[in-house]
Order: sequence, then structure tokens, then C-alpha cells
Amino acid sequence: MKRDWTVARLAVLCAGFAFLYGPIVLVVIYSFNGSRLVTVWGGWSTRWYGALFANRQLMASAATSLEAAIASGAIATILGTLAALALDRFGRFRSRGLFAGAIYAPLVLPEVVMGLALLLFFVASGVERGFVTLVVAHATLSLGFVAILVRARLAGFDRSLEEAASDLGAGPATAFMRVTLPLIAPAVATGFLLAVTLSLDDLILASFNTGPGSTTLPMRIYSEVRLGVTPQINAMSTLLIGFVGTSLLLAALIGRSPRGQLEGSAGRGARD
Amino acid sequence: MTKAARARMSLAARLVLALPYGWLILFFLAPFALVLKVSLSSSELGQPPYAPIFNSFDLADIRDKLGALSLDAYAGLVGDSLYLQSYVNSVLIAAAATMIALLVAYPLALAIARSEPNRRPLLLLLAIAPFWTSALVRVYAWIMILKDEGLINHALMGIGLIAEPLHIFATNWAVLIGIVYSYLPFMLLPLYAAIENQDRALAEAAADLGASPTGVFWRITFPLSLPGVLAGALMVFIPAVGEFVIPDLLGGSDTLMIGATLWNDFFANRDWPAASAAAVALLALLVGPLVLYERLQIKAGEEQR
Amino acid sequence: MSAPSESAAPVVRLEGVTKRHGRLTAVDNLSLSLRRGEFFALLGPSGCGKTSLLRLIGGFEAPDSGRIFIDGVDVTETPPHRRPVNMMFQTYALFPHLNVACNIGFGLVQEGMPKAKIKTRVEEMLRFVQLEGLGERRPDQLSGGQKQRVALARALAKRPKLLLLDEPLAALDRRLREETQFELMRLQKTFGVTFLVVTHDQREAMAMAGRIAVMREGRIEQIGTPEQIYETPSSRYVARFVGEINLLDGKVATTTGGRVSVATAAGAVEIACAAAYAPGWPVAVALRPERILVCPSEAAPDAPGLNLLHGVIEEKAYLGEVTLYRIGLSGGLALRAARQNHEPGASAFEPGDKVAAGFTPDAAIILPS
Repeated sequence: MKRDWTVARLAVLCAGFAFLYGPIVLVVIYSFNGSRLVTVWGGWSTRWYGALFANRQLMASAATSLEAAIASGAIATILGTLAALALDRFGRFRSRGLFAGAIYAPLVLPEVVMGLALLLFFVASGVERGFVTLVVAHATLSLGFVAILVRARLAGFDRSLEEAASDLGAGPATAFMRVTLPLIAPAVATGFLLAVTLSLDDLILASFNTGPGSTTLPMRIYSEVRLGVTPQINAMSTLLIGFVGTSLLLAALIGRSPRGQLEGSAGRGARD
Repeated sequence: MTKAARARMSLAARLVLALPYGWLILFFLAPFALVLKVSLSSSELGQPPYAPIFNSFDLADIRDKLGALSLDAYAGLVGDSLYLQSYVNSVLIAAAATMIALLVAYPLALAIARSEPNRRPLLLLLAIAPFWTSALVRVYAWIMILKDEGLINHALMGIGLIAEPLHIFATNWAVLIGIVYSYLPFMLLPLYAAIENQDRALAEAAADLGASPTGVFWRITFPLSLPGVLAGALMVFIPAVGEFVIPDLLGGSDTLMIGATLWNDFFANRDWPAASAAAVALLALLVGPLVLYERLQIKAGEEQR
Repeated sequence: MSAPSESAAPVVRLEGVTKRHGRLTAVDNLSLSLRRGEFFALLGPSGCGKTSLLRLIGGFEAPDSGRIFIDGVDVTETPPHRRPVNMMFQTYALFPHLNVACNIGFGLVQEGMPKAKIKTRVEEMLRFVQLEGLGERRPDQLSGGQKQRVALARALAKRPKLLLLDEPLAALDRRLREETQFELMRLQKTFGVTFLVVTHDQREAMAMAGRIAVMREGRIEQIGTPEQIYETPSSRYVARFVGEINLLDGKVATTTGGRVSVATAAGAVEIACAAAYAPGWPVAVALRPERILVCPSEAAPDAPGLNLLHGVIEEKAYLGEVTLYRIGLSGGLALRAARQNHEPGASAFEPGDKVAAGFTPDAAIILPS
């Protein structure tokens, strides 16, 4: 009976992961398709990657996206971490509900609404849309994601550690730099990576809030996809998947802090 | 000296709060106030394509402008059956997608939560990793698969199971598949957390009292995971209602969803007041679920403390 | 405002300190002085305000009123990182991202001590707590006892004037606890630092401390040496909290030349007492179980002045070194008596036996009712 459960569990896991990864794997495989027809296999080839790198427009958009992602990621990480600290440390302050709401809302709010709202704001305040407005829009979107990650880390944080630091002579700023920050660093780093990914990925906020000189990669891909499936987009998608895969791996490595590794080795030692 | 130190500390503390709060007021709350404002103005040709209202804080001016407040855009919403239809359609598709996502995610969440404790983090990471890849790429993958001349039809016709291609692409079915696939991690995470947090002794106690494995599931595991079900459902439903990319790329010409309608009003028709009114109406539609979601978030935050 | 510190001046002086948490008064107008180099224990049940008091001295909380002086300097407004006081936290609060040596050296780095000197000091501290060679370990690679020693070494590394210890032994198992008690006493002597320990365990407090303050609802009920607290508790509360005690309610019958005769429901008893009580005054006779002599009712010794209360053994518990008896007396009263088992016949009585409980006038004390 126990075995039935194990079999069922494995079947569910296999089916689930097949559903999650199947489409992505297909895109990757077909990016190496030699044929011009997407669904007809014409042997292995990397010709579409060559075509891709020769596409100056696409490369320029990729550069814009990357720059915007890093800039907005940095802003979102700083503001999100501060927001998480504020929510965790200040207990109940006036308008806390509004503050928490404004942090968490962008996580689920339809992006068309947020994109439109920001655009109207920029137009009303007479700001020329372009790279800066793009960064601001993405930072606003990602801030909440960073805040949630950091807040979760802070929730498991033993407050007496900060008290101990201050007991040993560290002022509030030093205690934060020497104790709190190193301990929440994995969450902050993961938050940054997530913010970068969100920005790289976003089509809608970018479409509303960027200017003609700063077309992002998703905007470029979107306009191509509308025209139909091409092998070149397969190649582009594969590169994006590779990029995200690498940064995820990086995040996983950061998450596996030396502490976790040591715990593991200590556990093994105890069992031996 | 010490008093000064304290004052300095509270200044730093105030900054911790003021920076993100100020940013959000400026770039989140103010823009939403503006959406409301624009939705009440009348459409105009020009740049920006709406008649400004309340640009100064002169009382007399405000009184004048109040008279000029226009509900045209809202009247347009109500009068236009296209809008009404896309609202109803959005809610129906989002609700259906939420249900399907729940049915797909629950067994997966359960399977991960019941795996060996040291494998759970990896399995969970693997399950949410696709969420990190570009949403556009993921939708695009489904175009490749579902198209009439796509991979599924190619394969099925290749083995002779069907003679005619299945028309899935450019239908509501394709949109459903796309939403479920794209938002699955949003459903999976809260479900997993709600199941994994349960004390295993509860299930064991139920079994000890004679409950069969199915009985344990329906009487213990599932009821205890309901907060996770609710959180997951909201996290899928809310953004799905306003989804634009998926219906635009996977749906057909008859797939009307409010996000796409808003987009077209804005970019194609350049009717900003109408787009703003649509946004306000969309928010009004989501206000209930949003408030519920915020409550859950804040409550979860408090409980973690 | 800072007076030059002499060795006779108290290390810590609290003047009328009050701390409220919402509606609850954790520390209530409390004054206290600690002598230089003493081992002082704050004893009380959970919620009596002892931890709040410790945190007030450490600077983690600010009093609502009253002043706190350390070495004659008013530190009431001083944040914790500027107080010459260190604390050992109940959870130890070892920094998980730093190894043992960095944990111990944390405060020294903060002081700006040169690196080489820090290294020597850390080595020295590791030796003191018998953890030589473990400097490179991370906190989660240590056993509970080792963590406790690191926390202690870290708090002592800065040579504070006062070390605050919040339930230092609570997280250890029983055997380790007794060992560590002696370890703490040894370190306290070695460093000559004033130790202020918070504990809810009276045995712990009595074993280690030179002086004990018993706290109740934010106030100090009694301060004294362990012996004073145990032998002459000042109130029913202290008597009950520190060790086992029998309390027999009664009324004063007569007071004659250092003897007070008390009429209880189980009979009259004579207690040695310097104070004079007016006849009819309600009091309680407090009597430790081990001070009671149990003998067969018919063979009760007829010594002059010996109080004898007759009764029946109701319950018996053999505990190894002692045997406990519950003796039912007339008038619905009961006594708990403890006999040392190495004395012949100490465990000879069985439930139902008629016995006499005897005690000398100076074995008991009189407490206000």
C-alpha cells in the first residue's frame, strides 16, 4: 500500500514536470532545427543563432533590456529591502495598511492597469518617456517581490542577534552592516535576481512606458511573434532560457550558504 | 549626546520608511489617482489625447471643471456590448483557468510535500523555475505546439490518429492552456506551503482513528490546506482577469478579454479616457479579490513574526 | 555627574525604576545596588519582571521612570552599545555567519583593538572556557554546552564591569547544568567581574549566587544570602518559592521572653522569635520539612520545649536520599516531613501509622499571615 503511494507520487511528479518543462524543451530543441519550417525537422544546425547575432536591432534591444534590468533591479532591491525592514521593524504605524497594500499590490495587479497608470502619470508630469521611465516602471513592479523575499528572511531572524551586536558595542548602523545584512544577504541577492528577471521579461509596462529610442527585447520579440513562428525566435528564446537558467543556478548557489553546506557535512559526520 | 544619538537613529529609521513609501506614493498611488481622473475626462484629438482637468488648485477653476467632468467614457463602457462581453468573458476564462490550475497544481503540490524532506527544496525549485523564464517565450512555445500546423497536430497526424488538424490555437481553449501554464507556480507555492506546514501527526492521528487514506485527505489534509487554496486561487485569478499577452497571442479574434481591449483602446484607438475607464472598471471588478488577497498577505506577514 | 569610582561604590545602582509593557507593570519602582565583584541572582517565576530588569540594565529597554547608574555614571539614556555592560543571551545569540573566533572577537573589533591583540585575547578566552582549537568552527557545529561557553567567552572578552546572564543554564540538560554552575563560579572568580544572573530555578540561584533577590510582580520581595533567604524568608511568598515549606496558620496566644506561643488548629506550638506579637494576632508558622522529627506516637520523646503534633501518616514517598511523609494532623491541617534515609528507621513508617511530628522552637519561624 505504501508502495502504491510512492508510485502515484512519482507518476504525478513526472506528469507535472513534463507539463512544466515540455514546451520549454521543445523550443530549445527546435532552435537547432536546420529547416526554415518550424515544425519540420531538418537536421541539427546553429544557423539561426548566427542570424540572430547579425540582427543589429535585436541586439540593441537586448542591450537596452539588460541595462534597464540591472538599473531597475538595483533600485528595487534597495527600496524593497528597506520596505521589508520597515514592515518588519516598525510594528504598527499609521497608514501601515496602505503601505503594505502598495507594496504587495503590484505582485498581482494586472500589468495593463499598472502600465497605463504610470504612463498617464509620466504624461501628466511632462516627463519624456524613455529609458528612465522604463527603469522607474520596472523598479516599482519588482519592489514588492524583493520586499516579500526579504521579509520572509527577516521573519525567521532572531532579534537577539542584533541586541547581542549592540551589547558588544555596535551602533545601529554597524549592527545592521555586520550582522543583519550578512544574514539577510541571500534573500537580498535572490530578490535582485528576481527583479532583473522580471524586468527582462516584462512586455506590458515597457510598451506603455518606454520611448522610441529604448525598445526592449520583449517588445521586439512580441512584434515578431505576432507575425508568426520563426526559427530565429526559437534561438532567441533559447538564449533567454539559458540566461535565466544560469541566474537561477547562481541564486541556488547563493541560497546554499556556507552555513547550509556546513550543516549538511556536520550531519553526515554525525551519522558516520 | 545620547539624546542626539537617539534622534539620529530615528532619523535613519524614518528614512528606511520614507524612501520606499515615497517611491510608492509617487509611482504607484499617484498614478492610480490619475487613472481615475483621466477616466472622467473627455476624449480629444491631440497630445495627450484627453481634455485635462484639475491641473491647478484654483478653487474657482475646480468648480468650473467639475461641471466639465465627463462620464462619457463610462457611458461608453456600459453602452458598448463589446466591453460588457469582454468583462464577462475575462471573468469566465480567469475563473475556469483558476479551477484547472488548482486541479493540476494540487496533486503536484501534494506529491512534492510528501517527498523525502531533503528532496523537497529541489523539487519545489524545479517546479517554479519555469516561472523565471520569459513569459513571452512560454506563451510562444504553446503557439508552436498548438498551431494547426504545430507540433501536436503534426505528431497526431503523423501517427495517423487524426486526419484533420485539431483547431485549438486561436480558441478560448488555447487561452486557458496558456493561463494555466503561465500561472501554475502562483498556485503551486501557496498550496505547497499550506500542505507542507501541516503537522504530520494530525494525519497519523486521523489514520489511527480509522480514517482511510482518502478519508485522511478529505477530512484533514484538504480542509487544512484551504487557506493555501484561497491564496493560490487569488494569485491566479487576479492577474488572469487582466491578462493581455496570452489572449492576444493564443486567442482568436472572438476571444475578448478586458486586458486586450484596454490595450487596443489605448494603442490602436488612442482613446485614453476609454482605456482609463476600462482600467477603473477592471480595478472595481478586482477590488473584492484584491482586498482579500492583501488581507491574506498581511495576515501571513503577521503570523510569521 | 560621574563620580570617581571607588571599589566600595556599587557597580550598578537602580533608583526607583519603573517599566510598563502596555497595561502590565514589569518593573515597579524598583531600587537595587550591586556590589563590585559579587555574584548576584534575580530569582522569581516567569513574568515577575526579572528579565525586564536585566534588559533595562543592558539598555535594550528604556525605563518609564527612575535612573540607572553604572559605576556612578547615569546611563539611563545610553544605548546598549555605549554601556560597559555585556550580556549573555538566553538563546546565546551567536552570529551564525561568523565562526567562534569572530564571534568572541566581535566586540573587540568594535572597540578598535589591533588585530594581533584581538587574536591573543580570543585565544585567551577560548582557553578560559576550555574550547582551545575550536575557533574556526561555526556556531551550528557546536554542541549546546559549547555554544553556551562561546556566548560566555564573547560576553567576557570585552572585560565588562558587569555581566548580565539571562537564564544561562536553561537550555542545557541537567547534568551539564551542574557542571556549568561551577564553571560560571570559577570564571566569575577569575575575572572578578560582577555577575547578574536571572533565573527561575531556586537551586541554581542558591548554588551560585552570593546574594539573591527574590522578585514578585516587578518588585523585590527579599534580598539576602542564600542562607538568609532559605532560613529566614521574610514572607509567605519567599518561603513558598524557595524550597518546600509547611505553613500552619494560627493566632498568637502569648509572647514571653523570646518565645511566641501560637495556637493552630492542630494544637499549640512554641516558636523562638525576637519580635513581640500581640495576643490574637493572626500569623503563620513556617517549618521546613527536613526540620521535622517523625517518631511513633506512643514513643514520642519528652524533651522540654519540644513541640509535638500528633497525627497519622497519609502518604509516603521513598526518594532515595530522603523519604517524604505527608502527616494528617487534627483540625484538617497537614505537614510534609522529610527524613534522611541514612538515619536508622527514617523510612520505617507506613500510611496509617500514628506518629508524632516534633520540632524545636528554633526550627520554625513566624511569618505575618
